[in-house]
Amino acid sequence: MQPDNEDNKLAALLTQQYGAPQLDDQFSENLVKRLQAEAAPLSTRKASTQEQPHNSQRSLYFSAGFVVASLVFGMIWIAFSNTPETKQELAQKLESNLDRMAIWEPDLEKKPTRDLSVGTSSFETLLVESESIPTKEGTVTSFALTDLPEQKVDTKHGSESLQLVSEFNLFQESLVAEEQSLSRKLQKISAITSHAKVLYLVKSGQLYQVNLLDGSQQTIGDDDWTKTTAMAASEFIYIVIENQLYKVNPTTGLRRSLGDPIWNKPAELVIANNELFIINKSRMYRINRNDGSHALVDIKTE
Amino acid sequence: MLTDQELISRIREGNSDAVAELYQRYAPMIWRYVIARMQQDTHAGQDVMSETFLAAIRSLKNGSTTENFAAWLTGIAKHKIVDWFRKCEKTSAMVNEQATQEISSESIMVADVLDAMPDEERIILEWKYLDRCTVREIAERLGQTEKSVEAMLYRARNAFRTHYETAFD
Repeated sequence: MQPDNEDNKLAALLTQQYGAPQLDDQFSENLVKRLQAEAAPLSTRKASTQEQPHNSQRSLYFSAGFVVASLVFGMIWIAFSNTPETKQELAQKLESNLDRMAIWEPDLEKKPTRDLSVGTSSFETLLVESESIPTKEGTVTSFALTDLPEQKVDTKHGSESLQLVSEFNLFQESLVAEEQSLSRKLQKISAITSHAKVLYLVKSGQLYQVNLLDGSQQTIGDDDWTKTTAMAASEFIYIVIENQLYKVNPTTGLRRSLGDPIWNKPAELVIANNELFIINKSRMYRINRNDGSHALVDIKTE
Repeated sequence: MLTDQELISRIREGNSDAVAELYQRYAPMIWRYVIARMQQDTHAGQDVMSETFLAAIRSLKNGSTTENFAAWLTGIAKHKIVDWFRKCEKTSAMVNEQATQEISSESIMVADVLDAMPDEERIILEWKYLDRCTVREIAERLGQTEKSVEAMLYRARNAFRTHYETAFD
């Protein structure tokens, strides 16, 4: 057999038996963009990807600050009331303050165990930090919420108490301002869902995933998700943008449209029993998760 | 033409042209690899393909080094395919039976034969006979001489023939 002939045979065999359909140009274009964004130096990436961890850190400092303020306030109250107080009573007050704080700080869990902590904040951490707060009076300020002995807190009156009250008021005002700022930020979340200990949310047009076990968060893709109207997640994320349903790869952020653009403002997008449903104009539809075809669900018969 | 190693260095520096070049160079090979092992399901293949390249770029950015990029990338694709089938086992609804196609026994055999070959030889055969690269182009990609590429091709053809004939027996 001639080498050229053999080459041709091999080429024909491989082409016929190992050839693949043409790669979709649009897919390649999107993927290259995504890869380029991934490879870009950190300094040129979107500032928004850095925004979330920064907020968490700021929230932590703020939370710690709140605990400090609570402690100072507690001390002043003790000093003025001139009533000896047990550590346990003081702890209850602090816990009450932390409960109030948890209303506007969703990163915090109520139970003071490390297991339940989310993100970089946890009560245990906060309380440990509170131990290192220097006090001008040299009084006992550190304690834990668990295993509290019935020990009296030794407090002294001090001339600096009034000044502390003033500082506390200023601090409280800054807390209110920060709380309002956080509320405004939460309003920017346009869709939220979760799957397997991962929270997915669309905020300010950016899709994020938050690991609920360690609080780590990262953006998914660089697309604009501003017009998201509904979202559900399983192994993939399903999102309705305007009236089109998309299947989104949570790892890459690449999306693929499913079916025709007919889902105008769906009320809900739900995954139940491994099936995807859309509630749209008071009717429920079962969606094929691969091709987007749909069928009306007859609730009476099912 | 830049060698793979030169492209990788540029990618580490954040050069977006190098990313596009690397993708153009390896996308056909990885696409064939993925699609042949995923019952020609193009939708699922695209997901695996994108996850493969994304993992590769992230890994390179994190300082991973590889002497043979093609083999390394194929290894990532292999893992991603396994992950995909694991996911399918978990959620049977995800298997897109309509998208998959009946595959001839010969196609499976060719894929098996290629799987059994060393990565270096498999890749060089694909470049030569499927992507229609010249010996010179292959040599430039690998940073080797044309003579050594010709020798590798000779070995690869022989290896393929031997494995293929054995598979028929």
